[in-house]
Amino acid sequence: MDFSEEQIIRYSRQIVLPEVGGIGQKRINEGRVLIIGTGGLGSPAAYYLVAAGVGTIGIIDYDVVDLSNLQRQILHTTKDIGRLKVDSAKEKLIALNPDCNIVSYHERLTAQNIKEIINDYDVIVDGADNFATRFMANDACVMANKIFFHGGVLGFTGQTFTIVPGKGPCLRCVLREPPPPVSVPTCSQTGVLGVLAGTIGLIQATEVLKYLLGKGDLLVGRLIAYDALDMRFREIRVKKDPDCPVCGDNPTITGPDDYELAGICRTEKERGS
Amino acid sequence: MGESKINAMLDITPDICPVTFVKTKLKLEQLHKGDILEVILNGGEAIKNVPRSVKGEGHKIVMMEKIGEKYRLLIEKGGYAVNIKLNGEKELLDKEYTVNELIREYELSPDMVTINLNGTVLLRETFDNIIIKSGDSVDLLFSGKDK
Ligand SMILES: [Zn+2]
Repeated sequence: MDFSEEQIIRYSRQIVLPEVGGIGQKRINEGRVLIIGTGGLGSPAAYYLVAAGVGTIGIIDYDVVDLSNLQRQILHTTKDIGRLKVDSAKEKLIALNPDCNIVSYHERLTAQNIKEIINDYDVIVDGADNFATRFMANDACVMANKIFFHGGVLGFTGQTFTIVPGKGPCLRCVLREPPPPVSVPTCSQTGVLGVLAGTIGLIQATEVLKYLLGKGDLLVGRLIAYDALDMRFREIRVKKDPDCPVCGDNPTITGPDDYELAGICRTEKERGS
Repeated sequence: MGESKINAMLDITPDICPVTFVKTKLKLEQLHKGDILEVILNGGEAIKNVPRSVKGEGHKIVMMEKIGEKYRLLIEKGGYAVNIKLNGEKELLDKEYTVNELIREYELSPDMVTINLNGTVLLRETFDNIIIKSGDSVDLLFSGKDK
């Protein structure tokens, strides 16, 4: 284990853990994680993963920083308003830990580019701000056999679970379809208490670190539903659906062209970042 | 006294907690079981904590001596310290056991027990192939199939 003096000190509080040690730290340093979105979920997830020393973090976001984002998207500050989110995010992440290689993609995740982008990463974190992207990412991850850490927040509630293709259910097993555009909440219904994104985003980041370390029990087949008003975490057993169109016995979604992306307006944000 | 052969040396007198232990731990990871690591450390906090933490990870303090203001430790690298939860309680194993070996370690017979590993019940046929790793949660349940 050839850590520099600076690395030994930086990561000392986790290297001391029996579950981490030099071997575990090395695995974290060699990890390659793609985070979809640098919004509410992506911000805290990226920040802590970089702090922990994840070697390569990909961030993909097409948006620019808006004043209304700052209530929850903690990678961006008031002076970043109007900047590309990927630029603003990269600057903060590198400042936190120059050890990490931050790869930024200023583009939308589409059926055309998703396969190639996720190919470069071990695991993918769901910080998408709309159902269409989230389902497309789920499908692409199942097909590419990549682990996908789902998270979503709305109001005072949040949900998260980890999708390990072949081991447990995927997002479509549980939710089946993106909701039709009419049922997606309107802007006034998309309120979220910012801290919720922090709580869920950090559960996702925790799962990523556990996966990289190869320790513990991942959130597979169990969905955590968090209600902040009751301050309760409920665990819901979720099963793989043999009729799932992506991971079932006779999948009908088998390639990127099968994604149905039209129809969801980007302003109709939901359960997202 | 007949001193053991020293395989590696480390001076952690310039360091403070937790880096003192972290450096010792990283050095021990590079050694093999039974190897001896010599560590020079300060009195006070370092001598209070480092030996304790080293023992906590399954290694053995073979010798400790005071040299002026400093201390000299000889540590024998122990087996791979594996931390598991056994029936909800913390348990430190000296190495990575297969499920079968673990069962026998507790003087039980594989056909008397059901093993729940990280929430999944294991098939008896897999007992020889599955290795218990640090961080695993193992429930050893008696299936009542005693003969
Ligand atoms: Zn599925």
